[in-house]
Amino acid sequence: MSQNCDWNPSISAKPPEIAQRILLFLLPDQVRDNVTGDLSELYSAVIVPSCGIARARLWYWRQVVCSMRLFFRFRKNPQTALKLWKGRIDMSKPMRDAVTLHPGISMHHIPVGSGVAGFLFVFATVFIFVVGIPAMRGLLVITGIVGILGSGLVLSWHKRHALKIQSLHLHEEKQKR
Amino acid sequence: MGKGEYLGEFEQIVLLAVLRLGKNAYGVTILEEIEQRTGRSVMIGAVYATLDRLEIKRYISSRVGSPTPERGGRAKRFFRVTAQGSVALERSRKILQNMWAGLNPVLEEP
Repeated sequence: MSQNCDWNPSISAKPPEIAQRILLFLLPDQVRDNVTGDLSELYSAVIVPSCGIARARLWYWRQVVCSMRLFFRFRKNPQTALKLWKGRIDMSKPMRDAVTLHPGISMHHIPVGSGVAGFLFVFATVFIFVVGIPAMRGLLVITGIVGILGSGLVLSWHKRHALKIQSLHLHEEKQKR
Repeated sequence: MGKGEYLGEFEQIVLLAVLRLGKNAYGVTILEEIEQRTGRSVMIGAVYATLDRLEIKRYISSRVGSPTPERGGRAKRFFRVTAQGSVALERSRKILQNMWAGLNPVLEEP
């Protein structure tokens, strides 16, 4: 890959701040230092010099998304994870084998695959965790209501004005005739 | 032999990478080794998840190294393959060899 000319090691070799914070929040103590350290090393020494800042940032974000599996793997409090999952997964189905809870480690064999399926699984799992937090649940409901009301308002405004514009056009055409 | 004692494809790849790297096997070098030798893009999360699984199976052991400035002052975790890990690798190789035995003429057919 070509070297990007806007690379300035003194300023830009640090990974994206928000992504790093998310990673530090998600990762358990056991692997936090190792994973963030490895990613910092790769980011500054390999990815930025070879791909440039923009692609390196994207790369880092992808790594953060993928590292979510570690969050489920080493979650500090297995009971929290269990509580959140309880009732949301039918344990009588084949999934039972996939979600095996081990003492000390929350979910040991979550079938996080690669590609779209894996991403969707991570997305769904994060959604379940977010819904499990009361404050976040409230925020989701408020966001939903605002979204529906907002889009309704925009659509009704558009409809009203579109009709007006349409009638104006018709009026002009009639006048021309 | 229990189901958990079999090595998956990625587990084999990670174990072989650790074996190849010797004393210098930690996250970055393992990832680079796998990418160089297999030609596929690997996520650090996937590598650590596999390393953890292998450590639970006692196929690898780890020790924490000293922090370095290029890593933001964070320490490296070095891995090495245990005797049990070597046995598991050898077993996997034999299984694959047995499965492949005599199949070359079949594969060469158009």
